[in-house]
Amino acid sequence: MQYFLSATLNELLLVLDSESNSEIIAGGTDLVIIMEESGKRPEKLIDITNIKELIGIKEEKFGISIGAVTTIAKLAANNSLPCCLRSGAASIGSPQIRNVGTIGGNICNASPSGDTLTPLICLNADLLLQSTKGERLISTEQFFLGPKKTVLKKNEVLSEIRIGNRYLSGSSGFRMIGQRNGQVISQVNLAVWLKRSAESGLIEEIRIAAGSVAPTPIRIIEAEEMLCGTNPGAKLIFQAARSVQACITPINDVRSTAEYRQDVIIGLFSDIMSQILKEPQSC
Amino acid sequence: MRNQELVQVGKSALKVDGRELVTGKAKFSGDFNFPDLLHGYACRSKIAAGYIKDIDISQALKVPGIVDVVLPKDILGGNIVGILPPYDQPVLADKEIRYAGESFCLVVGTSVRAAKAGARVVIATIEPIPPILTIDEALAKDARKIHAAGNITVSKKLIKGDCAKAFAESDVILEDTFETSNQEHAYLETEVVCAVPYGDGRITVHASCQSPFHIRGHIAANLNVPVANVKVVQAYTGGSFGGKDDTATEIGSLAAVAAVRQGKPVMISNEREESIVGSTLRHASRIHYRIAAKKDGTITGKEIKILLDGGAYAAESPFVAMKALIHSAGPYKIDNIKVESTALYTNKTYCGAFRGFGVPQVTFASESMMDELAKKLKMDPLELRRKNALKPGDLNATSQVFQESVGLIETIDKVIDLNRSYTLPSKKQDRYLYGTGFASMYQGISNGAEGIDVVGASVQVMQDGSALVGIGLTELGQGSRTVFAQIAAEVLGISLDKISVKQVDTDTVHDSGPTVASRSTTVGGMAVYKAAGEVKRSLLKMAALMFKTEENNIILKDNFAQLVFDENAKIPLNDVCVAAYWTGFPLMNLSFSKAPEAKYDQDTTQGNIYIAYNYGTHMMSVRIDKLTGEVKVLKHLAVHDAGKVVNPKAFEGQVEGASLTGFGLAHLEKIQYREGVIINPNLADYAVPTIKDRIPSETISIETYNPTGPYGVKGIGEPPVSGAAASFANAVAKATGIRFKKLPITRQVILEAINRKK
Ligand SMILES: Cc1cc2nc3c(=O)[nH]c(=O)nc-3n(C[C@H](O)[C@H](O)[C@H](O)COP(=O)(O)OP(=O)(O)OC[C@H]3O[C@@H](n4cnc5c(N)ncnc54)[C@H](O)[C@@H]3O)c2cc1C
Repeated sequence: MQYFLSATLNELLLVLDSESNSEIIAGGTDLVIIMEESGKRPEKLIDITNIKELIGIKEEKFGISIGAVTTIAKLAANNSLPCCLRSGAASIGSPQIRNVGTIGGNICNASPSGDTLTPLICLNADLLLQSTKGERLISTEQFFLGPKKTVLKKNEVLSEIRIGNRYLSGSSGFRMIGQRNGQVISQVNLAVWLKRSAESGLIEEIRIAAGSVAPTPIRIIEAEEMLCGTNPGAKLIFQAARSVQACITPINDVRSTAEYRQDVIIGLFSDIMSQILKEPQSC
Repeated sequence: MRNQELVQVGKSALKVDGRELVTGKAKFSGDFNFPDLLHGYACRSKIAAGYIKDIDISQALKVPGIVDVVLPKDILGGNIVGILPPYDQPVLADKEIRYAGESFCLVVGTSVRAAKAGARVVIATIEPIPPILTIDEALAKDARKIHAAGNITVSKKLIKGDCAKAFAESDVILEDTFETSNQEHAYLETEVVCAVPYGDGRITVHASCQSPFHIRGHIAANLNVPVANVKVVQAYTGGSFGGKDDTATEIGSLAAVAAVRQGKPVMISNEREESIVGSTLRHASRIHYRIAAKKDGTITGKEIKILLDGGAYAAESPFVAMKALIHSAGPYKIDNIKVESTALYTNKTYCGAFRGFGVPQVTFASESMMDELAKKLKMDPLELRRKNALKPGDLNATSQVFQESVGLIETIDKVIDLNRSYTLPSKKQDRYLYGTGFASMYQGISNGAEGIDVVGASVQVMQDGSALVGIGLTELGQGSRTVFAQIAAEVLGISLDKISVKQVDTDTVHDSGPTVASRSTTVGGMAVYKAAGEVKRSLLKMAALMFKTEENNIILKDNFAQLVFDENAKIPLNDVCVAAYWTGFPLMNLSFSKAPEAKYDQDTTQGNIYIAYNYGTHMMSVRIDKLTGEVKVLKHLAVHDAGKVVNPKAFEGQVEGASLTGFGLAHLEKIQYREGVIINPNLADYAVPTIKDRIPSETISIETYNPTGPYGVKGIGEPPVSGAAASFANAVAKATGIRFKKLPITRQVILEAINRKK
């Protein structure tokens, strides 16, 4: 196995293009475990953590751009990011994991339980994928195909995550649950973003995404439709929670039963909604 | 010792090894390094049961860096692990695989990476056989025999009084079945050993371990050399909790075999996954409980059947079954008891010692039943416990009588008292359920029914007035070195900074048996007390000569010998030591403390077993989220009668740690199997509590005087596990109105039960 340390994005793209059996490594907090478990090694491991262009959170005209190699810890600490994304990042692993794990790794690893994925979906974030052939922008929602499966091609890198201004306004929340409190992987996670009309206070737009309840993180459009144009009280929120419950197709696995995932999502959803509606600024 | 004014004992002295530990200077087994160090990595079975047909190591030997592959036939001695009969476990599986994770060969290479790469290409042909995975499968009439003698490892009975009569004459009878899951020790440091042929014709093994003498014996047996040729030195050990006993003998023997073959040091360092699948777990259990009582709450009879799933090998199952047997009726005065405790073989990871040693499982069942009985009789649960609690002079379950140091009622009263000033948050907020649960427990101190209980300790005073203590019991993080130092300091009047306590080196200390059964401070402390006392006699004799007075006019205090009646008349202790040395008075002593032997009837388990019991009552208040099943522990009181407390801070550490282990057992931790293979062998999916899961334990001690321990001490290492686990279960039952009969009671289990009840 050879180890490449790319210094620039261009260099990386060239290497990706020429090397067939290569693998990108960022923080390695997912990849190294997979390599250890399988005993398999790619011919080339390409370390992208030295590529400055891919690191950092910047304000742009369209909104905010997050470099794919930005660490989870940096996301969790950045107050210009929406609440749901910060909380999602903060709930990942332990301080050690957050200090080396990256948002790009979390996305490209495509675990159904990844804790930044539902926030990015509900924030309608776009992902910038680059290769020597050019670049394409794809919405997070369209990125995932299944557990560990994405639309990313072998010669592509995820370079940037973009959140538009519209989704930086409005309020959002995130909630997850696992087997215990500390360093825990989500049995279910859920993120909600919404915007209320300045005049009427009614919900103008709402996006809901749930993780670890289907092969990929999913949007729950039915519940969104139910709540759009309303100023929901407890009863409506509960009905919406029921529709979230109806939309998910969880499985039994080592972390949770399907039944628990079905049950607990009601509570998680109610929590987020009451937090957003009662204390939109608190996060 | 009673009513003596104490200078060192009873003080929260800092850990004597704390500085090395927090500065990272302490040397653990994995820190050993030698220029020619080799690393061993075991090949482990991926299936739970099968016959080994062939092991092809030819590819492995071609991997760069591989120097050797050790097979069962290469173990010249017995190829045996097992610290007590029936000695049924091989170091390397030879013909049959009995659990998934069992090792069948050891690949030795110049680096861990090489060894692992070699292990990956060993081709094992194992013919699978249907594994026996549950208690029922093991007990089935036509079940395949996992071992030649059958699937029952051991079965013991306890019979006191006439249970049939008690049940016939009772007013109420309650009956139920409880289950608990396997629990993993999950110490910070996994099992690590480093075997070094130092070229002195012997073999030295540096080990992270609990019982160095067990390892020494096993290495000798497996190398087929005299025990005197083997030296085991305990390295700093990052936790053990019972888990580094059997497992350390297994990898210690393997590393020694490999080291002798190569004439080079060999290290085996278990990975976390190996530490879970290839090392002992706490026994899973199924306990059937019947209880007979009078209307006024007097418990007249208990009939209990305990089944312990011990996994593939006996390991310490016989002792765990015995301890569960003795403790299953709880700390109560009950005239009629009938218990049967059986350990079984299944094709799963073998089970052994784990903090509590069978007591947490039976206490969960027993204390759940106590609450159900209180409910049935409409009695206050603490009143019911108080009414039946053991008092000095009562006959306990084995008909042993203690005339003193039975502080159970005091622990109950303390909880009643403190609970009075505590109010649970109101139930108005309908998101949450609140409840408070209680549990009383006791736990025998000393080896008891497990055989002879002897500890040897040496104390040596130097001419500069400092002292070196040697003892055959290990420091595992529990603070025993500090406690031994405090006892020696107390006896000798030497300040703590001048006392050193050796790490165990089997060459220099007497075989003191295993560091188990919450016995270190009690039995070990007594040996230190005696050895220090003998040296003190020399010092007093010398000081008497120097003062030209009688010995009984002199006390040793603050590094001086001083006159009892004139504290200004004093001689520095180092001067006394120098004089004693040049006068030829002995300044070193090796003393033994032998606990009174257990004497009991083998058929009924009636008689004297332990030298003391720790008694405790716990209270836990919880808040349960009805929508998520999350449990927040709002208050936890752990009140124990552990005799005299030598070091209150260390005591608190033991209570908090053991309580968290109990909380993990009751709420979080569950080893999960699929076809006999553990599917969560990592600390992400196996939910051992993290720092964020800590519970707010408050440690309270009721000091009684235990005449069998130095200064009246008993032990505290294990007991709180049971109290915390059982009070958690009762708190959840109280809050939800649902009796949970299986541990762990996870968020998931709670929420599903609440929703089903609706
Ligand atoms: C103990 C522990 C706890 C954890 N807890 C959580 C948790 O609570 N929640 C959670 O969501 N995750 C958790 N994780 C998983 C992991 O830490 C995160 O998914 C993390 O964000 C991965 O980032 P990384 O940089 O380490 O990815 P890497 O391991 O470096 O990469 C992961 C995958 O993504 C690919 N990749 C990485 N960056 C790019 C890129 N820019 N373009 C294209 N491909 C790329 C790699 O090739 C690889 O296939 C945990 C992991 C551990 C070890």
